[in-house]
Amino acid sequence: MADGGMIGNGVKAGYRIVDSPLAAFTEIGQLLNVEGIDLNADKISKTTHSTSRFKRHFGGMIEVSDLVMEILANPDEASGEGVVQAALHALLISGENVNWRIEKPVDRTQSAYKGYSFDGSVIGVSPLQVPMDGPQVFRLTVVFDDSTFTVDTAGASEL
Amino acid sequence: MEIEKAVFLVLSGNSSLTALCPADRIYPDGEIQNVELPTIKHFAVSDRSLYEHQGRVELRQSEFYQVSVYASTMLEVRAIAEAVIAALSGLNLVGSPEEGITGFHRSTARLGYDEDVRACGLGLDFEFWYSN
Repeated sequence: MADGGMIGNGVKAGYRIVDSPLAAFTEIGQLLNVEGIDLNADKISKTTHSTSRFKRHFGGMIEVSDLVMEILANPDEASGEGVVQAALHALLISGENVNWRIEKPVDRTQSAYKGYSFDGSVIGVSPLQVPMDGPQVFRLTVVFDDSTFTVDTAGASEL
Repeated sequence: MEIEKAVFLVLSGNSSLTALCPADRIYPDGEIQNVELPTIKHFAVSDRSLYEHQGRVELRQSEFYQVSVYASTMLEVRAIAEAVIAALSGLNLVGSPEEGITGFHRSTARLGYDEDVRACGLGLDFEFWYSN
């Protein structure tokens, strides 16, 4: 239970090839920051002139904003998280649609996670965030390409 | 490796520096009253851990690391200070542990003259990035 608030650490992210049967997730390690995702429906007017002076609207198509992840970089593509980061870069080049999963803990002990998943493709990588006197960072942008945005009930992590 | 031990290895292993201040006069903090001049004191003022979502990462930052140089004359202090800056600046410092240390000299401040010991001093502030 997280009434009373909790901070945002403990998030997990991963992806898997969209196939049948579903492949195992590849976890994206050294995750520094996850930005997004926003779900916003178009605001569609359905106002008609009547005795009421209030405009009326309904929610139209839903826009899912891009998922942006910042990762502590490992430029060595042959070792550890460098292998995963090289694979993420390759997904940009291929344009392949894969299944993404973001999990966040539902309590302070991080005993269970709530998962958010969708299909999408990598549309941006920033491999050269290299401040002279700070950590190297790998930045990744994923665009939504699915018919639904899945929100699981809290449970054990799948990553 | 603890950053203080690593910095000592770098300083004590630098022949240009130890020609000016012997390695057995390089101390991790402490007073200078009973120490032969010239002398160098060094200590981490602050040390910062970095975190990713699943916990602490190996990369560490010593945001403020002070190296204080004391000698009988300011001329001597400045010469030793320059040797310290040269030894502790740059990528993968010579003499540092295998995982390497990167050092940045950030500032130099004049320390008050110690009348008891008759020593001039300069305080050198460094920033170090290292693995633990």
